[in-house]
Amino acid sequence: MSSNFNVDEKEMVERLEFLRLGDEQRADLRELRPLFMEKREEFLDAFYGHLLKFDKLCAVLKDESTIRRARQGQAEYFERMLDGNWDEAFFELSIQVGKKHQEIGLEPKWVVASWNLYLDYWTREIGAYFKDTPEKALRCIDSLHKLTLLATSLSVESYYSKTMNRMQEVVASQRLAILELSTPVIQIWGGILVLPLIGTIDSVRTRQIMESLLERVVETQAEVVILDLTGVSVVDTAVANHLMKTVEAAELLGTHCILTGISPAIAQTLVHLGVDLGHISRCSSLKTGLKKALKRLGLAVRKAKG
Amino acid sequence: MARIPVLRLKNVLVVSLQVEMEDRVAIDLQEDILSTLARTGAGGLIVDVSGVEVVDSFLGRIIGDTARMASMMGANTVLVGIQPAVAITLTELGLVFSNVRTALNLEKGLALLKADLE
Repeated sequence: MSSNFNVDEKEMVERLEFLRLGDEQRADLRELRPLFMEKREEFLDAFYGHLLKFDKLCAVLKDESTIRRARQGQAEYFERMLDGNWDEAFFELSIQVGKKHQEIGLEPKWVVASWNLYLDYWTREIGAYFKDTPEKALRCIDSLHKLTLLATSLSVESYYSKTMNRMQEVVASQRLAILELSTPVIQIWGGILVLPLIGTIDSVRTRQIMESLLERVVETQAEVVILDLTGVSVVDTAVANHLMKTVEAAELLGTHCILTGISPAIAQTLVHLGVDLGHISRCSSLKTGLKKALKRLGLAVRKAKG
Repeated sequence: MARIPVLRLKNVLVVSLQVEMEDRVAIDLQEDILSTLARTGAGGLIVDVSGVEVVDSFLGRIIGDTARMASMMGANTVLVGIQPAVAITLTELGLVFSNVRTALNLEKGLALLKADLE
């Protein structure tokens, strides 16, 4: 159900080709390494100095050790970018960065804008470094742009893929919870089961309702089943048809079904739709349904004496 | 070929299907039930299908037909122990046995035919 964001080899090549990120750029970027090594700490100071001006980012970078770890990770990542080895491990690392951002709640707007700090700083530095060869400076800046775009897109895509997975997991678990909650079959008395139907009944639920009811009937050997429709908001032909089938199947097992709690609105709908509930016993309320069920079992409820 | 025994309990015939039913076995069983009914003049027939996990349209129709034939010969038929999955299949196939009574188990089925047991 949940698929992890991944880049296979073919796509790696495609991405690099589309960005026109190849050997030339690799050579340019490798030349930047001495510059990077020299200015690294200065840049990181400026970078985190800027980040910590914002409350949201202060909350993420909560203490010294977090900042130190982030700094180190970042320095290493940048080094990887410049060494020109954009292999599987590099892509994987970029994807992990996005996942990590999702986990700590750092939204892409901050991440994307942070890359601008990189470009800002290094563009200036590259300009100064290659001031005698402006053409070379331009090429290096261009290569750096390409690479940061690659890194940004990978981390943002992976951020959203992770978010999506989370949401899918939540939806799946809620769906399961709803299914379980929505079809309780209650043994209200020896030999009497009650199935209170609540909410909207759709095709997935209908199947589940039928199966859990029939299983419980066999398990408890109940002689009477009360299907209570008090909580059902809408009934259409499909739902009515399904109810009929459920009742038929339950009666095939040898149990007796009683439909209760059909509201005036549902009664009107059923008549307008031309649905015939056939021979199924009906009672106005769960109370009268229960009375009827007890009577069928030869039981009666009486006030205790004294 | 497997043959399914038709047992007699007072005035009631009891048949228990405990194996997966092949078509041929089902047809033979129908013959056996009807001839035993004719011979004994039994007033009731109980078919226990608790051992049957799968029913196709053919077997479903045979069971329904047999019950109808038995009632024509004056025997009340009760089907007992239908499994949930089988009940779902039968309703999906639209095979609802209108003139056949059903019960949850053999005991309750016999209770329905009490009159024939005395």
